[in-house]
Amino acid sequence: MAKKQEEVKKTVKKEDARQFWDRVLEIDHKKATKMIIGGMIIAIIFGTAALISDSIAGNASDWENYQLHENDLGYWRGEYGYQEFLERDREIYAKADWMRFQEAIFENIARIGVNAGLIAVMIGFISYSAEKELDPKKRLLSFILAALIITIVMFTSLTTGVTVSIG
Amino acid sequence: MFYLVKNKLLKIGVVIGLIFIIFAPMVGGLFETLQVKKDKDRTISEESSVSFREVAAYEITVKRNQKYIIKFSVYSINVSASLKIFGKGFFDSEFQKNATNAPQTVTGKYFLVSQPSWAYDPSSTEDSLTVVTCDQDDFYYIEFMGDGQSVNDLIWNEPGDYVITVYGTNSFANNTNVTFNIEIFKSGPSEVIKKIFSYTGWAIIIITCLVISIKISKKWRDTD
Repeated sequence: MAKKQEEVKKTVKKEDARQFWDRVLEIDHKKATKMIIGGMIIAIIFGTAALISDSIAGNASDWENYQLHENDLGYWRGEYGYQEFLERDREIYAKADWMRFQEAIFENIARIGVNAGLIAVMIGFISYSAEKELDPKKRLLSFILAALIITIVMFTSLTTGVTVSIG
Repeated sequence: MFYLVKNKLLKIGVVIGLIFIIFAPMVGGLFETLQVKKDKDRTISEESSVSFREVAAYEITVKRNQKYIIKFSVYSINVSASLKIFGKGFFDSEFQKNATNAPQTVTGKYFLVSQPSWAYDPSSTEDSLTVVTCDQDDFYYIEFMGDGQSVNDLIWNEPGDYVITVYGTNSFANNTNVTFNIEIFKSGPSEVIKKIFSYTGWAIIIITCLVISIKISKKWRDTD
C-alpha cells in the first residue's frame, strides 16, 4: 500500500511539473503582455533601487566630511560640549561605514528583484514565441529576445559585477 | 498604474509613514536632554568653604551611557563659587567627618569643561578638571559621566550615585552670601524615541505596500 501511495505521489508531482511548463507555454497573448510589462516595471524599480544604493555608497565619504564639519560648527556655536562632540563624531563614522556597506545588502536584493522581473519578461516572450497564431518572424524575434534576456540574467547572476577605476 | 495613483490607502499610508520618518529626529531632538534642576540665584553661606554640612548639594544618579550637563555661573560681585562632584559614598563620609576646610581640600571626580573658540580646533578648547571656580560673570559648561582623568582630557561612563557640590566665598567684609546659578540636565531618551518613530513610519509604508500589492495581484487574477 505504502509503495503504491509513493508511486501515486511521484506521478502527481511529475504531472504538476508538466502542467507548470504547459501553462507557461499556453499563456495567452494578454497575460504574456501583462507579464512583460509587470516584469519590466519590477526590473526598473529594483534597478533604480540598486542605482540609489550605489549612489549613497559612492557619496558616503563626502557626506562624512560634511557632517564632521557640521559637528565642528555645532561645537563652536556652543550647542553642545566636547563629550557630545566626540559622541557625534563616532556616530558619523559609523553611519558613513553603514552607507558604504549597505550597497552590499541592497544591491544584492535589487539584483534578485531585477532578475525576477527579467524572468517574468522572458516567460512573456517565450509565450509569444509559442503562440501559433502569431507571425513566424515575430515568434522568432520573441524567442531571440527571451534568449537574450536569460543570457543577461545568467551574466548578472554569475558575475560579481564590473568595476572601473580611473586613476 | 492608474490604480496606484488613485488608491487612497496608498496615499494615506505613505503620507502617514513619511510624517513619522520626517518627525522622528525632530521629536527625538526635543528629548535630547531633560532638565533635572534649575537654581537661579541660589544663596549659600561662606561657611560652605570650610564645612561639608554647609555646601549646596545636588544628588544625581548616572545610568549606563548617561551624561549629565551642568551649566554653572556666577553674576554677583565679590563672589567666588567652586563646583566639585563626589561619589555619594565619599560625600556621605565627608559629611559625617565634617573636617575643617574639607570642601576645598578633598579631590572630586573628573568632569569635562568645554570652552569653544572659533579660532581653535575642538580638541584644544576642552579640559578635564576636578574643580571649577566661578568669579563674577564666569560661566562653565560641564559634562559628567561618572569618572575620568586629566591625561588626554577624558571622561567615561561609570554608573552610580554622585553629588554635585558648590561652595564659595564672598570677598566683601560685610557679606557672607555666596550666590550662584546652576542648571543640571541629563541625557534623555531621544535615541529610543527617534528609533520608535522611524521604525513605525517604515512599518506603515511597508505594510501599506504589501496590502496594495496583494490587492493588485487579486485584481489581476480576477480580470484573467
